[in-house]
Amino acid sequence: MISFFILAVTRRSSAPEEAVLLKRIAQRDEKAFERLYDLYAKLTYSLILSVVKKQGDAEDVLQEVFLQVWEKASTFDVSKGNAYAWLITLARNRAIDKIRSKDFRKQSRETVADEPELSSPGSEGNPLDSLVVDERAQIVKQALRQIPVEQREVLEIAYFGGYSQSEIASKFNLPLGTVKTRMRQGMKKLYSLLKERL
Amino acid sequence: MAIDNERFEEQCAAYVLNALEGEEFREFKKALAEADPDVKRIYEEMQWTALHLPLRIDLATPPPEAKQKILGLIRRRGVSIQETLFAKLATTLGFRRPQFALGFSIAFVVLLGGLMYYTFFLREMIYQRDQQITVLRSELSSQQKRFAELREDLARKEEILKVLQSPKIDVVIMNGLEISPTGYGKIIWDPDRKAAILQISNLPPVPKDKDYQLWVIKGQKPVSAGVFSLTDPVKETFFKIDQLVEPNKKAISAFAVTLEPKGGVPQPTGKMYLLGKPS
Repeated sequence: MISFFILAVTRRSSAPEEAVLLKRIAQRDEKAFERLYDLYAKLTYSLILSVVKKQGDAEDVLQEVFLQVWEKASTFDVSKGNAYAWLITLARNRAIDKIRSKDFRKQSRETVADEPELSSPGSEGNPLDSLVVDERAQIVKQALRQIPVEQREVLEIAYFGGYSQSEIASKFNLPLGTVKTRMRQGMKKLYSLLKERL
Repeated sequence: MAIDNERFEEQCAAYVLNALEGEEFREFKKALAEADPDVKRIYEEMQWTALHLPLRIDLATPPPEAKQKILGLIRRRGVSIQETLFAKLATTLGFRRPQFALGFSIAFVVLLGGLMYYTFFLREMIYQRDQQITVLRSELSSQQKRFAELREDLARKEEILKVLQSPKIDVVIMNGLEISPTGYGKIIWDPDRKAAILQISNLPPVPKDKDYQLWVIKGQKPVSAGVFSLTDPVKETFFKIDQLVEPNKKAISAFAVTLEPKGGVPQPTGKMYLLGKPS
């Protein structure tokens, strides 16, 4: 289904426009904030919902994420990454924080920061650029189906479930080394598949 | 210590999925910071791959009221930021309520404004006082000068009075000559005390580079008896003569006043204004 979001992002110009939006948001421009919300609300909400599972919790996290965008837009550095990566990282980390706090899966893990540490600046790291979004989404889904299921499971439970390698090993009753290997091989395979199609 | 590529890839895959923990997390961060471009490319590729994972989700639409709620919150955020600032100020100042901090702030601003006005007022007052002191100093200097003149005048008059009080004085009248026919002069002379007073009137004022010079003529020889300037020719003016030391009246054939270069000369060179002979 081609949703409003997809139509919106296919019409959108590119990362530079988002950088301008974030700059205007930093200057307390509500119109720019609405525009960014319209562009990203569905994707971020969907990502959050896929992690927290409950609609009410997803709405709470969505609110936190966009309030953080409003407050921290001035800290966004276009030379270090694109708005897509920034928003996705914010949304995913907030969602994982939510389930960890709810599930009482207390861990002393160190986590990555809210801001992504991108070393590929500009639009190259933005999956929403270059191709029509639904086409790109289909490629991602297809690529994931092509990698071995045990590797895919490890990637998805880590990314969408917020599990660490040792937690995955415990959950699936696997040796830690096996989890590490599956995760590495899965990521490499997925990269190869995406790279040749995108 | 550097880690091998396979280990780096394992840790990198977990890192971009946020699944790395503990010592391995720190080890990877260090390795990434020190990595060469080829190794960093592995990280970039893995991160690029991870950023595509959200696209596998079937999109869901947030409820419309979520947007309105967020917009409402950011509009109120401006107000709450101000409230937070006052709350912080209140905490810093030890107030329990932010309103007290606001009141304190207003009072502080008013006090500051008052102090600034008072400072300006004081500076203005000091400036005016400085001006008055300058004027008063000038007046004092003028009065001191006047006082010195009066004291000098008094001393001269006392000296004249001493001469006039002497029981034995001689008076020699000097009359104006052709250049100053209305001029008049008088020598009041106490030979015993070797003191004398010159009184003159109606002589023309002295140019800046000139002085009048009094001469005592013994026989045919003029001897200087002193120089004087005439500042107010209308008034009769008295001058004390310090150099008239001749006790013998008969030895003096005449007194004369000439106009000479400033400070006087050994022998007369200028025109004669007054001349008188002892009787």
